[in-house]
Amino acid sequence: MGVIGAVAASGFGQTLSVAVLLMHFLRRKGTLHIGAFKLEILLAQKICRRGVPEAMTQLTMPVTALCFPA
Amino acid sequence: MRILAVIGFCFFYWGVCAVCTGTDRKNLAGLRSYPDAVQRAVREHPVLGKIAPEEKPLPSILLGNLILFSVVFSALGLALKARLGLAGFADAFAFFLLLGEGLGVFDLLVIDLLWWRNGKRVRFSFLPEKAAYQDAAKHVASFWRGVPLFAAVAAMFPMGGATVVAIRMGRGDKEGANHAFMTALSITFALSVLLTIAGMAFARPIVDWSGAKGPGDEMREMSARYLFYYCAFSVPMLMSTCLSVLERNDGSPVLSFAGMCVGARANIFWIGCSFFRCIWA
Repeated sequence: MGVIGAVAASGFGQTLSVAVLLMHFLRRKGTLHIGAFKLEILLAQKICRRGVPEAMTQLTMPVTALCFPA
Repeated sequence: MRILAVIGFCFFYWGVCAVCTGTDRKNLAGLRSYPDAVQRAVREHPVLGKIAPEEKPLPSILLGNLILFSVVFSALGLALKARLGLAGFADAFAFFLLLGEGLGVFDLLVIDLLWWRNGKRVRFSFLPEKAAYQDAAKHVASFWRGVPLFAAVAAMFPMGGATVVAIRMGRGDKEGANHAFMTALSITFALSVLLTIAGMAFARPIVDWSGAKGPGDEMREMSARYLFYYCAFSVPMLMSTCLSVLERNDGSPVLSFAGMCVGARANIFWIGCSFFRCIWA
């Protein structure tokens, strides 16, 4: 297994996690549920803007990792 | 207007690339973009080898690009602010992110893979054979320097979506909240599919560029294999983050926490199985 075993463990773990999380939306336990919708560019832009701080946080890790080999 | 500005800038960049090539002396300035074999041949050349630029470390290249594009984009933004209708930081950030990523894709597909590899302007006079310039590894590696930005964009949508959903739910706008939820979910899914395809297709250039080339072939092979399979799971990896934050906002923090715990426990269990299987083998 080796390297593939390690990465498969991470991947299957996340897949299982998605399966558990999806139950909430599929069983319509709360306000949000999965269904048909119309994609609006303005709403996508708004969501993108609200996510900018998190994107900046996420960027710090890969930039640090990229600087290590040099 | 904004799309026209992006297209115009891409062609302007192409024009700059064309003007900066054409003679041996001009081509030397971009020597690090050439395949390794060509770089070696130039450095061993009795005349060109003496005037060839020194190899620069990666941080100085990154810093140089950062300063160059900060100045260019700032000048462009100040000059065209009114014409492009840039309203505030977030709007300008979104536009320049689109410009940067668009330029990266145009640079790889059109300038590098089509023009550079087939054009005669970039070839050194002592090495005119087209075959010597066909290795695209350096161009792909250069393109991948922009990809962390792309992954960060993918992370934007779940977090931004969770914020918009929370605001709309607070207002009592259930339909609007669900619309924002579905938008965030579908865009995250689309981006994760793109990451899967791109990561699996370019696993080797990414690990080479990230420094796995130096330590040895075995390390390089293992890293490339790991990244290949890791990218194959991009969809569940991004979707679990997206779903957990949205589920927490939808009044089920316990299930959200449980979902993440199940994933972590399953990961530990399977890693354990893999580890003991290795020992027994």
